[in-house]
Amino acid sequence: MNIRRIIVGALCLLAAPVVWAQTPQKDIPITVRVINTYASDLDGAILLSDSACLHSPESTNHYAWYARAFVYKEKFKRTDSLNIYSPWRETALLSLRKSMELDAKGENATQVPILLEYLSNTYHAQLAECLDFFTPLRETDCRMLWGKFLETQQMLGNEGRLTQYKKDYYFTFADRHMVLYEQNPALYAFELEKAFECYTEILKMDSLDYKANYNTAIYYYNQGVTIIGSFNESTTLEELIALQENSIGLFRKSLPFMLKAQELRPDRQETLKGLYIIYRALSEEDKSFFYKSELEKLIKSGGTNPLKWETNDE
Amino acid sequence: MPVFRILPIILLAFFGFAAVIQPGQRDEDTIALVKANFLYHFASSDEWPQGARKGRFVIGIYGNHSLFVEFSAKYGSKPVGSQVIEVVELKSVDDSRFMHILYLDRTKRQEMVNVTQQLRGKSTMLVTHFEGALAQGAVVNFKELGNTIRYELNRKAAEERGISLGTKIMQWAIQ
Repeated sequence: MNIRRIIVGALCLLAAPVVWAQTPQKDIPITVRVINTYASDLDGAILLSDSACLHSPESTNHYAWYARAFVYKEKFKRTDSLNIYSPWRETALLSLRKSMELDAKGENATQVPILLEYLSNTYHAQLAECLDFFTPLRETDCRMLWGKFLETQQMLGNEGRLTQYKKDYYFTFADRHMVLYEQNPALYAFELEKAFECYTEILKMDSLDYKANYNTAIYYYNQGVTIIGSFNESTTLEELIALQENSIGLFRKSLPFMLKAQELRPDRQETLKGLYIIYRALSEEDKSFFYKSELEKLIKSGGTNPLKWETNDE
Repeated sequence: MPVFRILPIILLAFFGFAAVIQPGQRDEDTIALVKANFLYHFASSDEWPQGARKGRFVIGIYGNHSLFVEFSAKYGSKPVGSQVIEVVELKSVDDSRFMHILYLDRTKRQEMVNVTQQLRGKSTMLVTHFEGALAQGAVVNFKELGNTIRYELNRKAAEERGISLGTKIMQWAIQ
């Protein structure tokens, strides 16, 4: 997001009445009254605007809808800016969408994006705050705000930036889910699943993302270990054999993601360690030893290993 | 202060804070965990001669520290019939102490001849994990099967040691 655009946007909003004054006023008399009164009587301007857009011939004029979006935005800004479900902002957005639909020639192509970007930024700011204080109860709020931010960005035509936005969003979301999971793995087991879903979404957009590949590999691998770690004296032989098959299936699922991560970042010690451990779990000793020795070489050449590193082998 | 007045700072924080948490890979030796559970089944599902059914049920582990650690943690003090399991990590194999089960790891396979001599005439179930171990006198040998750990049996060796293999143990062995 670019501060310059926001500043330019704010200046343009200040200049909006001047711009409107240049529009063909004779066709939209009610809307002109909206523009002339909103500063001193916002509620009155809103009623006039509703009347213009919903019950008059002005309802087919894109300026009328733009003016409606503007006054509703003003109402949100002045009275309801902390409400993430503000109906004023929602109406402003709907009105802008209508204005864009009616403005086939793009006559108002300069002003609409500015107002739209303002709304988009408010969704984004609230999303950032929502994520900063993330709890399972706030997830719905965060997802709603994300959806609205995305919707406004799509309306702005920022298709080229959306992939990076989405990746950042999913990483941030995965991060929040992981924080909750690590606070209490038993209580928040489902948060791990949600983090994994975020990595899956990232890989759909960018199969070459290192972190998403690595984290997906870890997710599958750890699931497999959890199954085997649950074995105890009550586990029957049938269960032992069947569950072992299940965990091997998860280790196999983990492997291509860890291999891809290693291919993308051959300098990373954690991927070599990951491959060593996954192949060990798959009883593929030759490959396990290969990655173990590669890891040891890397550690020797690169100094200390930041990860916990211990071998259980004799 | 309206939220969006501090927008630039929040946006930077939002994008700058992405993906700092990375899940850690679990370190447990899963093969050792699986083998430990199999060993517990061998201990609890097979029958030893009357003379071996008193005192502690001793399991010796030679050449695999992870297996010793995992077995001790999960089954180290569990009962087997009227006996309590005692697991011992061996530095060498001698005949000074009777063991109900002795696990000899593949890293110690060169000691197989010595171990079988030490165990001659004793009701010790020798469990191994390397190719050809059954032919050298092991009763149970772990084997990889499609990335999983399974086991094969030498029933004759079990009989010679007076160990009666349980039905389930025989049923799930690789033929």
